[in-house]
Amino acid sequence: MQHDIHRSLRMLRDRERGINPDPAWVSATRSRLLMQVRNTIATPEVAAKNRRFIAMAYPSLLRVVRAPALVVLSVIAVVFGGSLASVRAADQSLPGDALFMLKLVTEQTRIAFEKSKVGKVKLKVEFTKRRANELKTIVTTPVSNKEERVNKAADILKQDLHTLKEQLKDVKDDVTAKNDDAAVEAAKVVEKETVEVVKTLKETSKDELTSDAKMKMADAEAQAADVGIQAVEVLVTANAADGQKVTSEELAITISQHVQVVQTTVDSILQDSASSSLAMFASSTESTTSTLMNASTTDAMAKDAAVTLQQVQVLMGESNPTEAITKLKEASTKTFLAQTEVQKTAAASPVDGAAPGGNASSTPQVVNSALEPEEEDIATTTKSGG
Amino acid sequence: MNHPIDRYLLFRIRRQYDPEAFAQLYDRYVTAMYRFILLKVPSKEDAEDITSEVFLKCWNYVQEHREIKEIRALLYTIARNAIADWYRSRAQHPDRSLAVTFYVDETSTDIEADFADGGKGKLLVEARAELSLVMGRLERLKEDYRDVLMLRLVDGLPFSLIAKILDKAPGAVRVLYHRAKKALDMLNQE
Repeated sequence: MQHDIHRSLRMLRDRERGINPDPAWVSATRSRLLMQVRNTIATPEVAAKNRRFIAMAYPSLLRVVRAPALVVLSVIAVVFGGSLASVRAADQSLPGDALFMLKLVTEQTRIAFEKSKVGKVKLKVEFTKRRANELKTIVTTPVSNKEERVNKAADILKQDLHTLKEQLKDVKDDVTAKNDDAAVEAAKVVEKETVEVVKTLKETSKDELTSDAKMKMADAEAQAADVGIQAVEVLVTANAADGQKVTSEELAITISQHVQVVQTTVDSILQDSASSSLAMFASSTESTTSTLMNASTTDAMAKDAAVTLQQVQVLMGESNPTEAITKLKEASTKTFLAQTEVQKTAAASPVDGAAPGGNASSTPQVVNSALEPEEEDIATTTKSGG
Repeated sequence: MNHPIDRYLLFRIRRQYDPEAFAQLYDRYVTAMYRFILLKVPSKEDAEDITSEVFLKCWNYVQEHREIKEIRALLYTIARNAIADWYRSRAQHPDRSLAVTFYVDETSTDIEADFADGGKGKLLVEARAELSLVMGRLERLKEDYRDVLMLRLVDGLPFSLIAKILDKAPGAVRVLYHRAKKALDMLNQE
């Protein structure tokens, strides 16, 4: 069995053994129980009467039945038993804080208590948003152990986005099978909030981060965009089935919002590469040449995506959301892939301010070999950034 | 597995209505019951309340002169039911908070849990939180599998006792346990 669980359980049991009940309570309870018990056994006749009485008063004792809800409750009890600290204190905590685990436990418990599938999705979305905001806070404010925390927070966010993606698949099935109102609503919530997540991640100024961290954030952004587009796909399906549940106007607005997100990303890729190629122009070593080549690849991807985006606009103009969303997905995937590539390249060979002929010259091999496979990738597969 | 002392005490309780025997039973099992329950309810006070309730119920049950094979298994079974009942009554009164209150020292970021031995309490809380996250996937397992995993791994009970609590044959419980571990592994690989 997984090492994690074994370790946690062993630790739990060991610590549990260290806990003893309050001795004062033990002896007080002992005395009280003795008294209660003595009162019930005055004489054998009374005892007999008591037995009959007990049979009537405590029928549940006569059937020591395993309550079906028992095990669910035991699990929830374990979750709850993670001793929730006063809510406010846990609420403000960030990944890496002592109370953060308790915050997560509270959230998990809320989801566990939520009965409806759609309700669970909505809660998950809310909590994913929280993760994005926590990540932003960690990056932009002075905190201890920033590097470690950013990595942790980004990982948790990516995990949550992955879960959302899985949940969305479920929702999609509900929409196509039953055209379920609640499911459509869930898709709308997911769509709206993942756009917010992407925005939050974009807004976060990443200048002070290590390249690893920047890459993780780019990954997370790509993932969030992916989930958002997936949600739009569900809405397109719903609109095709029933123009009331999702109106064409709503759909048009939603799609244009996502187009905007992709466009912004395209613009920033092209802008960044334009400014860095200017910087590189000044110092031309072998390494910068190969970086330039790689930049031109990502540029090509970005420009290609921009063209696809225009096709999306055209298709929407023709009231063809089904094809439009396919194109939008293509454009989004390409763009975020390019963005992640930019980060990867930046991590492999520091482009800005690298000492000419310094350590940069040791990396061109890495950059070059990264080129060819990618070019194939663009043509054949669409790899999602997450 | 049925301890001779338990059998003797049980006999005295039933035949002779001997409260002292009951008190000795209490002495033998109060700590184990307290720990078992403590792990599953929000606070120490709740654990204390439920623990004393369990012993009282046990006494009443024994007075019924039903066929009682083993008092220890009976105690655990009553405890499990009592915890379930307790949560059920909580669920009916949603205004009752299930949150544990900590005393947060205002001048430090440490938390002192309100347990008898402060520092250990905090460690237990952390271990529980970590465990609950790790065990989160248990929800997706069958009821039988969940039962066995909890009783074996969290409560550390021997298979023979688990068998009596779940009313199954000991061999069947071992098989169930191994299957449950496998199922949990598969879930964790998803």
